[in-house]
Amino acid sequence: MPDLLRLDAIHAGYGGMPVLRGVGFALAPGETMAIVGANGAGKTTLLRAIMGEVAISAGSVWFAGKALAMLPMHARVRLGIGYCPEGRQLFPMMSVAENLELGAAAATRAERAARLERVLTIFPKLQRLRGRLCGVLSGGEQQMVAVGRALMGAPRLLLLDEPSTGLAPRVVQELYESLRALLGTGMAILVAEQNARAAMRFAAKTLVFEDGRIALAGASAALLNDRRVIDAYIGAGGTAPAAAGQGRI
Amino acid sequence: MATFATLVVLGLLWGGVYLLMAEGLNLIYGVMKVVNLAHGDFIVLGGLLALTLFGRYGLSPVVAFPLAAALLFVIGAAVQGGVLERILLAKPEGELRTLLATFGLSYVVANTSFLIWGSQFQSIPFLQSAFAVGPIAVPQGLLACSLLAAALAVAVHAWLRHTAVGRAVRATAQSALGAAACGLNVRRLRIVTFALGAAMAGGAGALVIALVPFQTSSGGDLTVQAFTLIALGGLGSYLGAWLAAELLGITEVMAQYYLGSDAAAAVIYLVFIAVLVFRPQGLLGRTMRI
Repeated sequence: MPDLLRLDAIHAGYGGMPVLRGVGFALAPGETMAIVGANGAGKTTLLRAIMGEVAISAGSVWFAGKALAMLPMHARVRLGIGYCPEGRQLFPMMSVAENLELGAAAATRAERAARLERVLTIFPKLQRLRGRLCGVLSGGEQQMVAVGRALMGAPRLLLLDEPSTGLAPRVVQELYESLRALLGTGMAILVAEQNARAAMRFAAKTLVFEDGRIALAGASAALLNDRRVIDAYIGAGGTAPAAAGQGRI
Repeated sequence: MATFATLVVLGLLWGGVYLLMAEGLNLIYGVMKVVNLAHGDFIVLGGLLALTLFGRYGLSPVVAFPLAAALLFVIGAAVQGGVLERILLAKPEGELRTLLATFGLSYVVANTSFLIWGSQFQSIPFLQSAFAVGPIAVPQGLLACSLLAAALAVAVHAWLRHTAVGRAVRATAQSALGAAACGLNVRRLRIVTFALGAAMAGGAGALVIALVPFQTSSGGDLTVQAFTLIALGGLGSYLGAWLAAELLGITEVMAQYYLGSDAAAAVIYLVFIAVLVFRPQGLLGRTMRI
């Protein structure tokens, strides 16, 4: 199957300070992948680089056979990449319904209605919150809106940045259970998580990041109890970069 | 009692005029968190354009209103697209740099206007009579400006609330990153917003010059006045700006009548300081943002 997303040895950072150092991997349609690692390992920067929020200094990002280098974020979204950025980035003074509908800004009225119905099926809790301002929702409810809003764009690839941050364990479990409804729909999902266990239980494959490089890559089931994953988190330094930073699994 | 009622009515009408001059600044600040220091100069430019149209072609300020608004829309779009967007991208301190850039723009607009229109105060004799409502004399020009301000405020509010572009603008105001993640072209929305704010300033100038004489250097004072008003109302709050405009209008008219013109400006700024001391976020700050 051709790659939906492909990263070729990308380097990216902030103000000349490198964060990602030669990261490369590929994701096929329908695949799920967890990006885990310690704070500062480069998980969020990776998602930002894919979305064009952070400039890439070397390497390239391809989506559905198209190079993304010159495209601004909104154009990448319109190509079919759904993005839930760190901190959710909802519109707090707008209602849940308005937030969700803005996620389908480019869709027709009929498409918007159909997608809204689907999102409310995945997150039934949002049905009764439709008229509520997003700013007053709980963290878990806000996260559901954030994911729902990204789904309103009918993406082929969904990027989730730290969806469990600030949520109680029960809410995290609830969120990932809802996300399971997306499995088998053909949508690829890339989830960057500090909560490694939750992400690895959800995704079929895992990339473990360490110091801006891919330290480990493999099937999540195999890596879940791998001592080297823990080492990567605590910075034990015992993990060798997977094929010079390349994460082809 | 009739005098007091007249003062209140005049104050409300002047409040409408002040609102007319501040609405564009409020829109731009509300969406982009940028204080456009050239706002007053845009008002003056719109007024002087109306003056030329009146002098050369006999066009009334009402006809000049959309023409001035259209010209300033184009200028605003060029400024935002060509200058401010590039500065905003230059992080950190992009917002501070836009402030400095609009400060420079203020001088460019004022001095260019000076070369075209000279330095003398100028006005348009339009709707200068008054009509009586019981014991109250209502100046026609003041009433027209005030009604237009109210209509514009309602129109902008409705546009922001009930149109797709308006909702996108509100979304951008609340989270530019969230808006981009929705597939919205944030850069284009900011250009439209700034252009619209500039157009509102230009249109306001075309009408207000019939009430208040302008000279090319009046822009700075008008910017301060407009900024005072939106800060008093709660930066970015539409209803707050309206309330603040009426409060300032009534305060000014009352102070002028009872204390004299010289004291009026001081009284206005005393009210401004008092509100900020007891309510730093402004009258309706936080709760009524767009």
